[in-house]
Amino acid sequence: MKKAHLLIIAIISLVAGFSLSGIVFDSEPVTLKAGQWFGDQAMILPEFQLLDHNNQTFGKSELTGKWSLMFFGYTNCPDVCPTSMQALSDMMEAIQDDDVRDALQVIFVSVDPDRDSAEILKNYVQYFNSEFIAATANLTELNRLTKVLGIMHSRNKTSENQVAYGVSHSGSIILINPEAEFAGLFGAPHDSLAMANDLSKIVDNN
Amino acid sequence: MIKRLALIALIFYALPCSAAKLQITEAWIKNLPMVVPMRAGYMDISNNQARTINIVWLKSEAFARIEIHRSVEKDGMMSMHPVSVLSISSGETVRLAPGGIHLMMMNPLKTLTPGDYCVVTIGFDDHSTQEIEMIVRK
Repeated sequence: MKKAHLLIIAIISLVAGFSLSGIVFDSEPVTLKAGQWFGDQAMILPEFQLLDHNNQTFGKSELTGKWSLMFFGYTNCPDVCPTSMQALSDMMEAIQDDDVRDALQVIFVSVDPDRDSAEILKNYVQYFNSEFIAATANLTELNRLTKVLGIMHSRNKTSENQVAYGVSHSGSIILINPEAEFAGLFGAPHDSLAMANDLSKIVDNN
Repeated sequence: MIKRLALIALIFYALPCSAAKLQITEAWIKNLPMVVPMRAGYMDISNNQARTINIVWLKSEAFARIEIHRSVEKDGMMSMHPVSVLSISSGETVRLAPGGIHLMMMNPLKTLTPGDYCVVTIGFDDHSTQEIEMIVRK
């Protein structure tokens, strides 16, 4: 009887110990080398509706269940966007752990919907990685998402019919957690190895 | 004899020099799928001459148009600004690199793939030119 009591006490202690260590572990702040981590301040995203590179709906539900990295740019961008997309491609290659890589998805959101068709987006994004997703929408719908994320974008046109124009846009890579909350960001310039280390840590610790 | 040498020296001084003015290294073009009309070109440009050298235009048979642009980050917003003259002071090296000054190479006129070379002509403000080769990289 005494032995049984002792066993029960030992099991309770073990469970309590694990739970306690779990609580302490979860509340540890994550510090990122390459970006900012919002911790408890992660922001719930509103509903939004984009179309992906296969003309399929891409909304908030497509962000649940994975850690998402979103970059906002345009395919006519010669320097900044290919550089950031290449950094994301290099980051994925640098992550050795399949479980970490499988827990991530990368989304290129075009802020130039007039020129970036689904076909162009598909060719563009899959050049960097066959798993990458591209999406866009009209500016009203895009702004529902970009405003919450603090992403700015403006087309530098002198007339409405101008075909060749640049688009100024935020250079940050946005991090969305598997609950579809805005959880952090990586400012430009992007260091692929530092991001790979940070994301491995985030996925492992959460 | 001295007169003749002086004349030769004068001719060489007066004619725009087509010999290499600048030392160009690491000249490459970032490859992108052909559906995308823009490419960026990068290189290190060193001026070992005794005076400032001004690049005023670039052209290539591989692209419809080439301009020099500078990517600028202000308050987290990335934008591009044209550079009409790229000046390289004597003894200076200017780095054209991702996220900074770059060649904006518009509308490729042929299919480019990694490993291809493109000949680019650089035009200077004294009307002389210099030809360089840029490699296409993934």
